[in-house]
Amino acid sequence: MDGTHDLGGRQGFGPVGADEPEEPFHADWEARMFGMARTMKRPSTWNIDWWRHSRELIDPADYLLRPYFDQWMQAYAALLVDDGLATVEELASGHAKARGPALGTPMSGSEAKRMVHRPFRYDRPLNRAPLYQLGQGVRAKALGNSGHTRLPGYARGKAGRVAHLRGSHVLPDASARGQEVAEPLYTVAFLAADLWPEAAGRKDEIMIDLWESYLEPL
Amino acid sequence: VREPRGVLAEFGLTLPESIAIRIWDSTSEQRYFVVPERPAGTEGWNEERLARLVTRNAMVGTARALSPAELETV
Repeated sequence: MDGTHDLGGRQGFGPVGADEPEEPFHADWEARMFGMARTMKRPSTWNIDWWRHSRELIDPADYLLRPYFDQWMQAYAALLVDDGLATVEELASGHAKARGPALGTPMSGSEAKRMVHRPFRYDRPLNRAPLYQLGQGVRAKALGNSGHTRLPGYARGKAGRVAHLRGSHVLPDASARGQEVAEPLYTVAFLAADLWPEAAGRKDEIMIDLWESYLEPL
Repeated sequence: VREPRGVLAEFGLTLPESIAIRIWDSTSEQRYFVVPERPAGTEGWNEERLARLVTRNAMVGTARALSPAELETV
């Protein structure tokens, strides 16, 4: 969706925090949120793209102002309520009024530790030839969709060239709607000068990973 | 993605105009990591000595690896 989360190229947020401390979490509750998220048993209908879309639906002012892991909490809370696993009242009080559906045995501590390091894979076998070839000119479609998409707003309608073929990957747009569809993924190189007035006259490039259905031939 | 030279300057890295910049905007399928450019004067160094030249910012692409002379002053 065309929401506040699509921050690429947006200006006015001040300097980047170059001296941000190196620790992975800035507070104990953040580590706890991360641990809960990685280890919780969940309905099989939840996936990363549906979760990301639920994050995009956070109120824009909250999205910009609240800490990153607070967004995780809000997104999971919304999914819990949406699936009827908890009510807003239960989340607000911190006490369940009824036992939820059985989702399986909770993880042990050692399973949880292993889980943190378990990679999730979204690449899939490529079962047809990619539509576009290396070096071919392509244009990012001018439209995204009102659900989840990973086509950045700043690239829409812009022309680039295929710089790498990346095999086949689960299309996030469909995955967020509960459908697994794999498509060829390309790294497309855009001339920065075609995207931003600041880059006029430079040879700088922006490389973006884009799914086949985000593109049309030039 | 928009003002790479300005952001790098905020990290204290000013690149000459002769260097073209490629920005990798990962949409999460592919992850990328930075391999810092090998500083001059490190020919024949082993992995352990080279690793001492690599800082946190060198690994996130906002600084060059230390030169042998800079390592002396750290």
